[in-house]
Amino acid sequence: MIESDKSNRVLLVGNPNVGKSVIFAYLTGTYAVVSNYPGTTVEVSRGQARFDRSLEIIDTPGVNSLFPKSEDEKVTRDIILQNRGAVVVQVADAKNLFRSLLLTSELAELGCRTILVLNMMDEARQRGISIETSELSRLLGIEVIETVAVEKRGLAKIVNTISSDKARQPDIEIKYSSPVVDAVKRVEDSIALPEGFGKFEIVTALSGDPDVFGEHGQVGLEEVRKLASLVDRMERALPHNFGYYIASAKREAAEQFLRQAVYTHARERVQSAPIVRRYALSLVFGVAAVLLYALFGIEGLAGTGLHPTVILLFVIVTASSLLGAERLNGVTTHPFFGLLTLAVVLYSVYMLVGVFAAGTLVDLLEERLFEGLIMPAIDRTITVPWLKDFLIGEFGLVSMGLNYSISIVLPIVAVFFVVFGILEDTGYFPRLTVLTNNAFRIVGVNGKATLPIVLGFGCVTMATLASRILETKKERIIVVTLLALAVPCSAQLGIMLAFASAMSIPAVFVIAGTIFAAYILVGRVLSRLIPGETSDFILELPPLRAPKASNIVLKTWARVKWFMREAFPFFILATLILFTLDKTGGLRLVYAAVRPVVTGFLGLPVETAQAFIIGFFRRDYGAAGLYKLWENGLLVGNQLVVTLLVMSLFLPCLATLIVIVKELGLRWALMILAIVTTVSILSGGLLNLLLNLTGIQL
Amino acid sequence: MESQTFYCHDPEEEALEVVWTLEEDGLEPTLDRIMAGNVHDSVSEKTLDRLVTRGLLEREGDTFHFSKTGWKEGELVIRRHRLAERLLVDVLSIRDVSLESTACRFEHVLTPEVTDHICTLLGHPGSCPHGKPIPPGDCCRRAEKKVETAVVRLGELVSGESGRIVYISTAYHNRLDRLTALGLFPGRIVKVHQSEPLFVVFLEETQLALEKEIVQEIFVIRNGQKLE
Repeated sequence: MIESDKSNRVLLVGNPNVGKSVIFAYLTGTYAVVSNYPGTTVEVSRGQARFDRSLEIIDTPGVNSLFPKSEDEKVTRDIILQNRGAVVVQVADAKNLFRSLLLTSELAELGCRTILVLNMMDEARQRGISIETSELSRLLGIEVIETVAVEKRGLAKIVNTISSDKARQPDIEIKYSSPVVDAVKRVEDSIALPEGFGKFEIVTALSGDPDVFGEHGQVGLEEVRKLASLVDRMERALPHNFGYYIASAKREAAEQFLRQAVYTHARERVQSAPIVRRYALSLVFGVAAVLLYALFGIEGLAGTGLHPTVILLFVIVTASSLLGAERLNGVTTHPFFGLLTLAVVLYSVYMLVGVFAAGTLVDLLEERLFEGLIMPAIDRTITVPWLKDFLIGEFGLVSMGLNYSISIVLPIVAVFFVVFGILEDTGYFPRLTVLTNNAFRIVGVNGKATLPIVLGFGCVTMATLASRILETKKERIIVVTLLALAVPCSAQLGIMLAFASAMSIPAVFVIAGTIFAAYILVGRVLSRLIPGETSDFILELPPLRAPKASNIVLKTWARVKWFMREAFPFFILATLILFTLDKTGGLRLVYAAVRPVVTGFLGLPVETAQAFIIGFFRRDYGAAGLYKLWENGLLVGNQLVVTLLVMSLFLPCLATLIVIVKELGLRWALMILAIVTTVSILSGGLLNLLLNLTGIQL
Repeated sequence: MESQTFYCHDPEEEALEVVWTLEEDGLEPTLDRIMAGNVHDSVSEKTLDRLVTRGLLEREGDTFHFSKTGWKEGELVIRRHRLAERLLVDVLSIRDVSLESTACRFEHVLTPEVTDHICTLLGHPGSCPHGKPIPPGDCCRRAEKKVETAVVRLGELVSGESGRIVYISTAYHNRLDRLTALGLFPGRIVKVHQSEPLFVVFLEETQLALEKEIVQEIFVIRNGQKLE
């Protein structure tokens, strides 16, 4: 059943946010998205080693323990169990040696051939930590390699060590105390275990996860149940649960290495960087700002959104270099200054994405390039009427398909990805959870939900996958529903921000208020109805770091490429379908079918129906369609408010829905679909009714 | 099992303990149940009848219920037993199977003053190592008003203070595992970075955000202070 020859596989395993993906990228020569927060990798990436085509490298989600507490941790545990013969490259944060050794001890118990990589040696040294690597290597009996992965330092040595087959089982023994030893023996005696199952699985079962036996079908359900009740009975006779004894034994196993003077932590901090380097960034910004003003003049910059943003960024960067990372860290999570920081961050995002990208850049591409150059050129050169209609008509391939994708969605998404990437790499998002935890508690989840929700503003589909970092199914269902309902994705958000700049302040508040109310209502109802518990909120906050420009560029490029690959063909296809429907009269039928809801209930022009329907297949395309309608003056007054509300609450796109089915099952996917449709149309309609009855013009 | 040569179980206290636990679990304290729960075999029907005569229990057919004074008396016995367990496990690190019998012997020698002292030293813990509640004593009620203890909850430290973890008292299975995996366990020093809206602590170079409920279960000695 269990294959033993997996020796051509190399698994990258380690605590969250230690740099596994950076090393994966180096070993395989491909780019994997790298960020400064735990949980960037929730799915397993596989790739061929650059230096040896017969080797398969596997990057796994970060784990604190091989006794899993959440879905992503389980993924890693299972991969290790399925690849027993593989080489494990354990990537460790040198600043947190103890925690890494806990994991090493578990790998040792599993009998994994291991190489230990101590990454982020530079940060460790800066903090006055020194590690006797050679002594540690001797004690553990395995190769220990020091690296600074982001600067590629020491990485070649990993390749050498893998190639020369030097991975060994670490020499750490977890010495369990008598309750655990006795219990393991009793399980062995009373339950027939299949071949290949050993102490690790039994200990896992003792720690409260007896399903480890049943999951892969090797052990019958009856036996698993028997095991569970045996564990339960033995545990009740003890003063502590097994988890306690297991945890203390592992702790002692790991601690002995710290005691043997391998690791010293001087209280004195090494001065982080010379003054010049510390202020270099703000200097660069200052010069850039002066240059921008000199080139365009204040008037020229004023309308682009760059003008206030440049000032703001300059202030932020200067302030942060003056304060230093330590103090800044406190500012971001402070109950008052933290919210202030959040407001500044949101304002910057709005200025950059909503005003600069959705305004200035879109105008530039759309009016100057498409409507000013390309379309007139086609108009002049093509004389065949149907072809002209096909290319630049109402549903033309160029006027709609290319125009939507390249001049409306692309600039917005690209700028968003840059901003988002910068925020990701500073380590700001996990800090946000400190401020948001209480708000998320209202809807039955904890602050950890911030990470998938924030990711949702990039792409809801990805965020749905990222919900795996949550620990219980209940929390996942709630977060996925909220994502589908109330979180607009990057393209949608950009266009909404553009709308927002054209609306009155009260209108913005009405929309935000309604979305917030829907979020609370749906979240609360779900948290009442779905059985199960909310998990503890314990989250590690990664250090604040200055983002590296090269990583931002790489990451944005990878994301834009991915986005265009996904979106571009769809935009073309959707345009073709609309064109055909329009010509064959099918579009009129569709309009007739939805007219009562769209024009009657929501009070919107019937053309918005096409945007809503297509919005289901791709939210961005639908949003771009609405943007176009607005530009053409078809949405006026309150209609804009209603449209924006319905659009923000409207269905998740098809890709998201597919992922929801995959992650939560068809039943929940249909349920979520029903909830979201009802809430979005109902709230739009009620708002319309209310505005009509009161005669308020927002 | 080691033989219990020097017999020191007080049958009456034992009986009160069994009746109390049964009631705590919502079970009717019938004679059969009491006899089954009497692990040290020291309780007999006679013991129970003696307690009835002393006015601590009331008998109805085969069922025994506490009188008002009996309930108070039972509570004190339970409190001593569970505090003794806490002391043995958390401070003296006795972790093996002898815990139960040691705690049993221990509880009978504790005077009310010593009991309250132990309770104070431990920071007025709310539950025994098995997760069952410890009935509060006078000292706990007093402590709610003023801090008078060497060991405090991590949640009581203010920003900038640090403390060494003495023990973690939680009824939740997973919590302890996870705290250990992140490096929060007895012996380690934590520094409080902020306490509002969530607790943020530093553990050497690891920065953790924790909910208040959790920091209330972590007990520390303020840095610089020693256990008396």
